Amino acid sequence: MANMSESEEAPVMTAASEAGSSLRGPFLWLLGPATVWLWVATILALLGSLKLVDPRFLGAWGWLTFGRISPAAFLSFVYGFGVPVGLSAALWAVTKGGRLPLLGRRWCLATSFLWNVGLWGGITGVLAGESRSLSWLGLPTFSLPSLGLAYLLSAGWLVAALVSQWEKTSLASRFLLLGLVWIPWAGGAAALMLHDPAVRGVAVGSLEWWFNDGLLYAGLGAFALGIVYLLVPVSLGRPVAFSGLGRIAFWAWALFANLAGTAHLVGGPFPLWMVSLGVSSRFLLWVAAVAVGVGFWVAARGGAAEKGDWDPSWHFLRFGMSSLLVAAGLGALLALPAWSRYVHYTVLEEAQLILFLYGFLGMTFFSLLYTLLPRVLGRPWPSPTLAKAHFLLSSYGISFLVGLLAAGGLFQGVGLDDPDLPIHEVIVSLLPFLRSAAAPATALLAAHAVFGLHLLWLVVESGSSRRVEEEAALAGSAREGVRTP
Amino acid sequence: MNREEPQERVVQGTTSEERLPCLFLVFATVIVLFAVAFFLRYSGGWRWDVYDASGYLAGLPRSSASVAATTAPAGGPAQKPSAASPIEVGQDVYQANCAACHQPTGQGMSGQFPPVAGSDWVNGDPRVLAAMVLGGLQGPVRVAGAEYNGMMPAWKTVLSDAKIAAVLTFLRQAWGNRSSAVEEEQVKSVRAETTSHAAPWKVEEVETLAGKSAGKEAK
Amino acid sequence: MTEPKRVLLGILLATGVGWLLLVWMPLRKLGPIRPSADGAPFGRAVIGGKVYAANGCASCHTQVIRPPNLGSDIARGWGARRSLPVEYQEEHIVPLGVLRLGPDLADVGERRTEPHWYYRLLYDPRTVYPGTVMPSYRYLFSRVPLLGSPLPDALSLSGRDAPPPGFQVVPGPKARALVAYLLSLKRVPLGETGKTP
Ligand code: HEC
Ligand code: HEC
Repeated sequence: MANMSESEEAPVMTAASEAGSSLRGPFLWLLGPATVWLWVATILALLGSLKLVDPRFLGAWGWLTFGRISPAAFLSFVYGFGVPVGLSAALWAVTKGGRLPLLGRRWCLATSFLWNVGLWGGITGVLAGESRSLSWLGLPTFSLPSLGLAYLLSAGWLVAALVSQWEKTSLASRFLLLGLVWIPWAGGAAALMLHDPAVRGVAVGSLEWWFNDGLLYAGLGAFALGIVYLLVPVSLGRPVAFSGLGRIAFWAWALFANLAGTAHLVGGPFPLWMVSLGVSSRFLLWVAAVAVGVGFWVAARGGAAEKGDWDPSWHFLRFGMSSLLVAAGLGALLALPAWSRYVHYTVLEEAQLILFLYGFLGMTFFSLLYTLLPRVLGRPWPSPTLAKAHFLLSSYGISFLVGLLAAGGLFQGVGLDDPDLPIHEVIVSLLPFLRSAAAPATALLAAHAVFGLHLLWLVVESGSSRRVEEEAALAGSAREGVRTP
Repeated sequence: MNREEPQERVVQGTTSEERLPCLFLVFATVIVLFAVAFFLRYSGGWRWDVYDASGYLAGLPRSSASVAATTAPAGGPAQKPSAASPIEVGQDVYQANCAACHQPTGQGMSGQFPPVAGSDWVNGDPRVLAAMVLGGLQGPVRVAGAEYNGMMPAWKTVLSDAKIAAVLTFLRQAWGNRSSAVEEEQVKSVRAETTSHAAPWKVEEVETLAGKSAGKEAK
Repeated sequence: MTEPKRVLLGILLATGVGWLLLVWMPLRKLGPIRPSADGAPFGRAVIGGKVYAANGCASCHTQVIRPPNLGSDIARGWGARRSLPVEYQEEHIVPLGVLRLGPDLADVGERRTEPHWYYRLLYDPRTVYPGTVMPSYRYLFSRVPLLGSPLPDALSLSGRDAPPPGFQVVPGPKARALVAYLLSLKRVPLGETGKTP
């Protein structure tokens, strides 16, 4: 399939018929649970925001205390939804919509099983109070072996497959490779370090932030950029422009994503150079993001001329890219010491995180799902209206959520900076924003519910048609697959 | 039919070469230069013991309440924030740069870092003191009755003369020390005299400055 | 070397730079004085640190005092000076924090020294700070029958919080550990005797 940016191979919808038989299982194993995790994450996030509105909501039950559900929400989004979709993107790139060797099939099944078992254990552990509260490293120890094994099983195979069918100019393969390699490398190193009793002191803090930004930019961010490079040819019929620039952007991304995290540590117990390195890296990441964005929009201007149908994949992709540019810019500007005095530790930073997570990663991942699933399942999406509803609900939900948190964060930051204003009043001035944020959070939940139902419909429909009128359905899909994403 | 269509479009797309928008080049150049300049300016010499930038960052006006909170006995006429008293500046410089080793209380850490509170070096000849801090200090040194043998890095590349004068004044007047203030000019002249001395000082070397300095000053 | 292998190697190198600069070197330079397992802290306060982490206090509280030019932390009385690595040197849990919906706790043991005050706060924050967003942690407490006079650290509760007659509310082991930890948050570097002038 179209995993090249400039190679001669065209993004043709070949062999949907063979693909359907062999790829259906692996993708559904990966993506079905991912959708469930998406719900879990959104429900937990909504609960968290209600708990902030009134801490007595749902009582003082340890399992649902704010300090546990809010990390659990982020963790289930990233590890439950983000990572499996990232793996699916790589799987899609190496199979090119063709067949999957039997061995690969088994690996996918094993991965999906181990990963989800580990993650259920892990998230339950966080809710039960087993976490060390280390942001993205917050999953409890006992879940790590299963998660690590699950990841390595399919990532190892996927890396080998990507390398063996390497396409010279393919930026998609590079970014996917970065994501595939970074997560086990860094996750493994971090987990080992954290369980060494000799690792103490502020290095634990810099380790945490090295991993946080690395996971978001070099791990999942790389998957999402890989998806951008995969999908633009499919949606637009032409690749992202400026592949030379894209290569530079790739290397900048790979390097600076690992250095950017210390920008968060400004004012903390760290030498000046560590903080400055983080701030500068955030700026360079912004430039890299804009470099990809320029290629994206130049391609969009030249490519999207005729479009009959409303193409959900393309809309999600465009929203994702816009969010990336804004989130990367905010990430850089907010880290400047002159600003961070006001905005550090406020919900404005949380707004930036949500824009990156839900706006960039989430929307780009949906874009992949809208393109990939009909091809794998051999049927178009049953209802364009539902797809549109999903897009509108989530794009408005994210925009308002981010906007409200950003505005609230400014109030909070200016208030916190005034030492004469008691903290109670600062939080009281922030509460109206947090209260209203529950509305867009609900919209987001609705959006994900719509997506889940739509997916269920698609799976059921494709399943029944497969049994009843297999031949007809396959022939139909080969035709439909090109037009409908 | 359906299979051919996208292929054609790809070919079209790749043949028309686009040119990089000018605006992007300007943006990228500006931001990259800014990032590099920012890092060079605030690299703190890549040192593990520099926590705060001197200059712009350290000099951002503090809110009036925070000034009041840290300096109760100011008493004098109200001053512009930038013209804070040397003690105040010195305290900030100390907490940012020296406290990591000599500890926020000036007591040092037994066996590793000598105290600066009640130290004869601190309360002694200001020129020897300035030289030690400018150039760093290594080898055995006796402070407040105990022997230390460590290495203090040089501060001449990190701190300006004014900052060093301020921190030394602070040292000489805090924690029960009662010695004279150190002027920026004194630090400046010591810096000028000792430019040729690259490595950290040994105690024997730096002690010689005390005598020599008087003569030099007379010239 | 083929191109994909070069790319792989490049990725590993690029990642390694971050690891080296931000993890390995800080551990050597800012970490414990002797990078070994012995000398690690132990005791109730350490368990309390784990309780602090497990219950996500860090979602609302930070433990960093920024210097006066980067925030009002010192002016607010959250600490006397900016945080330095020595103060965290021997700690396994370094909850620097992400969000400030409550006060910074880096130095809270210096401000609040009364264990009972903490128990009351954790049991029902709204009796200490009416209308606060800090949640109640009463699941860290237990209700035990009242035999004779109340235990010394039983909470004196009234109104809706009051236990039924014949019972008393006492902090559980986790609450005790947590409060021991909070009381230990003084950020006094090793070997320090006095305070800043
Ligand atoms: C990296 C740790 C470190 C830092 C940071 C540091 N020092 Fe020192 N300092 C030392 C050591 C070690 C010695 C003793 C050197 C020796 O044994 O020869 C010392 C010695 C001294 C002495 C002479 C001995 C005494 O205690 O009176 C003075 C004065 C002094 N330092 C001042 C400063 C000032 C001012 C700063 C901040 C600008 C500073 N130091 C920062 C480690 C440090
Ligand atoms: C939802 C956010 C939130 C969470 C989670 C939270 N707190 Fe708080 N905490 C607050 C707020 C807000 C205040 C300030 C009360 C006020 O003035 O309204 C506070 C105040 C405090 C204080 C008093 C500080 C002082 O300077 O007086 C302590 C101690 C404290 N919290 C400890 C904890 C501990 C321990 C935990 C975890 C078990 C925790 N908090 C979890 C929001 C939170």
